[in-house]
Amino acid sequence: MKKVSVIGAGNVGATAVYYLAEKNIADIVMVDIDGAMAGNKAQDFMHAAAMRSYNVSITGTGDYAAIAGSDAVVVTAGVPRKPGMDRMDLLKTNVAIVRDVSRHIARYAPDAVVIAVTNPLDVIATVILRETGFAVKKVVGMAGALDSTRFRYFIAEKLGVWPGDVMAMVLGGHGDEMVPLKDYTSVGGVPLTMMAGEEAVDEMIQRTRTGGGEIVQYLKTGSAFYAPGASAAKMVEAVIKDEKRLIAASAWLRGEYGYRDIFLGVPVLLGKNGVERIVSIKLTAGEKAALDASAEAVREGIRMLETFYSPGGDN
Amino acid sequence: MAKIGIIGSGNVGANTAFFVAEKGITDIYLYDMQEGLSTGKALDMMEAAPIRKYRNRITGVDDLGMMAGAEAVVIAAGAGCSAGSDPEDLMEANWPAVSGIIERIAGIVPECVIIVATEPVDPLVTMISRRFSVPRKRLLGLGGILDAARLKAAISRELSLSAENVTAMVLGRHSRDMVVPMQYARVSGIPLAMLMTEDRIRQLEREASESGSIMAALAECPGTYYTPSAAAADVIDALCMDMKRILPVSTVMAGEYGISGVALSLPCVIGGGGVERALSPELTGPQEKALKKSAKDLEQFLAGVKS
Repeated sequence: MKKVSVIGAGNVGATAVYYLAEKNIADIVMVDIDGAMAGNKAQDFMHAAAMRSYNVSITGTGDYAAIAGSDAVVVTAGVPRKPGMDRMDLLKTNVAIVRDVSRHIARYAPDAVVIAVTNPLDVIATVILRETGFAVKKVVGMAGALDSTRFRYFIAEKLGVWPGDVMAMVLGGHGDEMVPLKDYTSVGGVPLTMMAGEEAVDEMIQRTRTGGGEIVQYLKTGSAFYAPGASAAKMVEAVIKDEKRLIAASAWLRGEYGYRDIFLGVPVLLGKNGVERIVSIKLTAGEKAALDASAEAVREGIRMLETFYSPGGDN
Repeated sequence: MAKIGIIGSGNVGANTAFFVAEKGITDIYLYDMQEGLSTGKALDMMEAAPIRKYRNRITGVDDLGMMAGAEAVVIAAGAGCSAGSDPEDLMEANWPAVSGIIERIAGIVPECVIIVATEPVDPLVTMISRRFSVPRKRLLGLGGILDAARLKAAISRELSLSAENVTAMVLGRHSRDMVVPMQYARVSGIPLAMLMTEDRIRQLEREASESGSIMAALAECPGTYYTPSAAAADVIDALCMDMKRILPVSTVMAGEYGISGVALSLPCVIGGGGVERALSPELTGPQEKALKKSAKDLEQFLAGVKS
């Protein structure tokens, strides 16, 4: 049986576990700084096993030794941005958390593919890469999958079609700088641009950009976790089942699309070795310009990171 | 497509919607008192629809009127089971909320099946039946089905066998006083007694009765929600697909084991009409005695409740 570990048993982590459990593809270990909470959630899942026909085991603990031998590790640990907390405070807090997590992964699960979920995503993926010392293809960030599923749903809702029939890809950094690709979006194989006018498409794109914020506005005291959990689970599934799935994800670039030494959302082939290939597709001038802006935003985040962080340090 | 309403969009309510969506059973309308909460959670789930290929819709509403036409309504509102909270406190906190909801939906969904997920489940089901004269068929509570799921999990773990192969039943009150007729626990039809020692069976029986409260203690505040949600989804599945599944749910007793007028869990046939039939399997002397004592205790408990 394959094995997946999820670090951080909050809403996103637990929901990813739930989606994975439903797929019955791997034993699952949940690790949280609050080990009792992780253990309890795992027990709650296992109590549902008879009803949901789970054939996998789900355990929870505070002890990283339990992740030994994992094929994939999902990192959701970190804090959300709280009122009054600026971007730098958030970055410092989550970098400290993820550094510790990364060192445990390197020690106990040296062969795992690591899927980063914690925000700010592209910067956090950089920290994981540096702290684990893993090969670059072994570290990948979850961004495009979430932005794409939101984009697909908004298209489906607007056109009144089944969400499963909409295919779309969203590149770039996770957030305002995302780059949805109109020309590669289709509904049952029909290009989106034939199904909807430019204005309507722009509206869908705008809603996708602010999709995370829209949920926060409704929930007031929390942020989205169903769609993020489903997106992370999808990526894990691609790794565990060696699907060679073509999916938008944050990958370390070494010249692809003209960028070097940064994590950025691009189309990748995801399989058991992680990012098995970065797929180059033709972009319009407008899309390339938007991707440039996205890359610049990631670099800005890295500059912030470097004001207080050096790999292997303990600040 | 059929339609189900869920009132209360906290962990149990929202995850029930989630389980139902995963099974592709029916359209769901989620409601919560906190404005926006159900809309936000429904939207978040629908944003996963392209990945999970949901074929039904989850809609968040701030207006109970939108529940019109629902075949069943799950009551998942109220405070959760937290460490140290006793049934008296929970009843005091939740009965006003639940009775208020039933009153409000009576005119909107007069014929729907009411599924109570809120704790304490047996007292609430009894009080709903008394106050609102809801027929037995259209009212049930998630009681024994949770305890049975936990027992099955424990048996499966103990024997290292798939939980799918395990059948088990838990009756009576959804509390420490539950009745666990281990003579009906089987693995692919094989009685448990042929697979493990009497001592282990007794120990599992004890664990089962303590499990619910242990879960609440561990989780501190929010109680548990994956198992209750999975149970609610199973009941909804049986209802919407008219499956005639036998599930242990809290139902108002009508003479079974000589008990009437209070709700306890019995194995019930769940189909399109709701609780179509309640079974009363033969129990040992002590088990039947325990069941009768639970009924008496429940009456006593209810005497102290302000209706």
